[in-house]
Amino acid sequence: MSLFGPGIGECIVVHVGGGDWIIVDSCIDRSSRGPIALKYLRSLGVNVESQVKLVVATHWHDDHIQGLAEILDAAKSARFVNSAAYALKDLMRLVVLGNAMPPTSSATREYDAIVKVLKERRDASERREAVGPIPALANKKILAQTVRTAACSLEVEIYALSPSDGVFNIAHHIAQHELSDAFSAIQHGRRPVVQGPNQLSVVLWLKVGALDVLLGADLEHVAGATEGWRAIVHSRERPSGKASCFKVPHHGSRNADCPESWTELLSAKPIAMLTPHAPSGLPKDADIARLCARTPFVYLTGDPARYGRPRRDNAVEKTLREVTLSRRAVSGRMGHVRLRADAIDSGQEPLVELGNGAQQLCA
Amino acid sequence: MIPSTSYQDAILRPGSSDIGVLFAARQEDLQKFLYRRLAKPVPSGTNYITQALFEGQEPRAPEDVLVRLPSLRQSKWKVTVLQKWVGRVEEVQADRFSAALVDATNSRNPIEQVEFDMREVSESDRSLLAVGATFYWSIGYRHTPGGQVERISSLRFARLPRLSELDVTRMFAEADQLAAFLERD
Amino acid sequence: MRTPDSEGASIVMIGSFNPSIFQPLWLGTQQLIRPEEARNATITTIQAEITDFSTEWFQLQVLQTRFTIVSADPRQYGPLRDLVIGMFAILPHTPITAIGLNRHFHFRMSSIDVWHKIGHLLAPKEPWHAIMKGPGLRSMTMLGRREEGNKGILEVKVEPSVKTQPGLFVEVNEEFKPPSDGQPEGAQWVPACLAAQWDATITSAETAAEHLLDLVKE
Repeated sequence: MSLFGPGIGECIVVHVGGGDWIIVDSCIDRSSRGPIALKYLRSLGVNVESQVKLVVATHWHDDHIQGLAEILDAAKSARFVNSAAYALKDLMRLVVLGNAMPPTSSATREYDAIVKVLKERRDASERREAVGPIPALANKKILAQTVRTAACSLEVEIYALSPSDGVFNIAHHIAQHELSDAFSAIQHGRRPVVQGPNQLSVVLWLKVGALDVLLGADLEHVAGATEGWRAIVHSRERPSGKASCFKVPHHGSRNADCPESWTELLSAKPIAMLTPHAPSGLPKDADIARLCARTPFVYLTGDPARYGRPRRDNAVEKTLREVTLSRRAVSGRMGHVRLRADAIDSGQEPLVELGNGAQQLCA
Repeated sequence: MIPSTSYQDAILRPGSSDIGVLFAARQEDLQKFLYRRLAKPVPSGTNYITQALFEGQEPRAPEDVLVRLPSLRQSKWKVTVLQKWVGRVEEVQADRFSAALVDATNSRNPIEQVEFDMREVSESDRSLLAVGATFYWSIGYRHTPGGQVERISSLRFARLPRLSELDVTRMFAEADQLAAFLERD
Repeated sequence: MRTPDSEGASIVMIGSFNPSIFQPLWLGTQQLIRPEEARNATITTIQAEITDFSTEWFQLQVLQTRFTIVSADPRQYGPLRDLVIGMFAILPHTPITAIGLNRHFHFRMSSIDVWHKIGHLLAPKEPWHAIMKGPGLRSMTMLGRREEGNKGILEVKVEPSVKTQPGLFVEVNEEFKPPSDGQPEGAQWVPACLAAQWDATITSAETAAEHLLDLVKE
């Protein structure tokens, strides 16, 4: 499993056995100007067209879906999964409003491109179940297969753990509110700012043989028992087991921290990985301290404090100093945290590799 | 209108009641033009439509005006751009605003978060300054007709058309159709 | 890219227009340009058959069958696109049958020899010696597509520059037609086409010019 993060955005690529892969969210690699997932998989010799089985958009914030359409276009055997919380009609309306005028919002532009890819495949008579969009909701199994090798067979199951039932009612209100705001912006000649809330995120539970992995998306922890992490923890229908690997939600923010999830969903001292969100300064020092108190194995794809500003022509640099009050880079190298674990023998020590500025956080 | 077939047939009489210029459907195609003679003299550059409206009259289309297609003029100012960004406003305060800048000169450069003094924004663009608004920022040099070189920083907010309810209704209808298509099995 | 001596970009559309609509005052009222730009525009003519005016950063000329907007200010290529999108978002029923996106450059060559070198490379003289004395490249246009599958027709023109001597003029033009075969949809296809293609055309024009200059390592 690989987690990529350049300071804005993240992408997770998981080998689920038998040469099959899933991709969760997407971000752009600036050097190749394409989605990092495709660059990475091709570097491993993976045939993206046939070996990628699922492409998941956990939620449609700008920084989680950039390049997803290109991935979907290349991964012709993959099914597209997104949150069931937004009705497709509301989502499509938000997309057209977001794209109403250039420069279009990258989220709605990306979603528009995703829809075009889906439509092409559906036009070629592929059914929804084979193409998508597959609506993800709490405790729905979105992938189940048996991987057989000469030595053994491996059961693979992937579940969505959210959005929970409690979110559906508010999702519709949220969508109407966003549509109304977007319409008002357009009427004033402004480009709408359209983003669904984190509460509609798709959290995934992966069972690959003996391994359980929890991918936390950007889901937040709220007071209500029918939403957020509480709804997952208290769900009776969720898959059993405890995850030994955890993609920490929402860049480690306090808003997304649910103490119960660590005791109920995760094994003792799991491997925790997360990406920074440089514009908002996440994770903060307090977030890192909190994570390290729970497990010593915390890995971050990169440190925004080390993101260098590009050096430009002298005249440009001089003008920048004169004109701007402050300036900082909020994206940097595509940090990479890679976990390799044996899905058959859970006694084997997993191996974590860090690349491109990724670091282990706890001393 | 009397279409003529030959450039040589067109008569150029500046200062007379004819506005003398050659009007061509394509700049390079001097064989096609319109020949119209004005009913009464109109000074060059006059907008006869707005003038008539201003005077409370019905605009009367001139008859038989021979109009030359003005050539596309070169600007006397030369601007050399060293660096361009497209920015999106993230926060607005009374005297400053912050924005995320995407490098439009070299897309490999990282996104930068920058704070500007409000005075960098032209007065007539201030009404466009809001969270989510897009702007173009360039740094470069300008060469004046007098030979002066000036280093410049130009910030201009994107101006977008105001779409009507009808436009939005049409867009929603297309969106709903697409959603229905994707939703079916 | 090497700094050109001068450059410009333009959007040309073929269709059926009412030139007298396209007045600075109209653009100002629609808030597509600044009020000061509308007030201070230099009007050459506004008539039923032709409108021509210029502001600080663009010149607009509209005939009954042709719309041309041009800017020589590279800071304004994005706003130029936005302005055209804005105009035809308000006039969606204007029949438009083709859009041409153009960028041109005048590059100064370091010497007349370098200038000849490009001409020799692009149009070797040997085949012409049998039929004329002193052959030289007057103008050359290549036709193709920006990339495989791209819908626009790409033309790149190379000529000796008449503005800059010795100099090279490079013009890149990409033409697009409405998406539905034989069924123009007024101007409704224009905003999407411009939004999708303008930036790429502007960038690819730089790439094309850079490539041509690299042929002689200028």
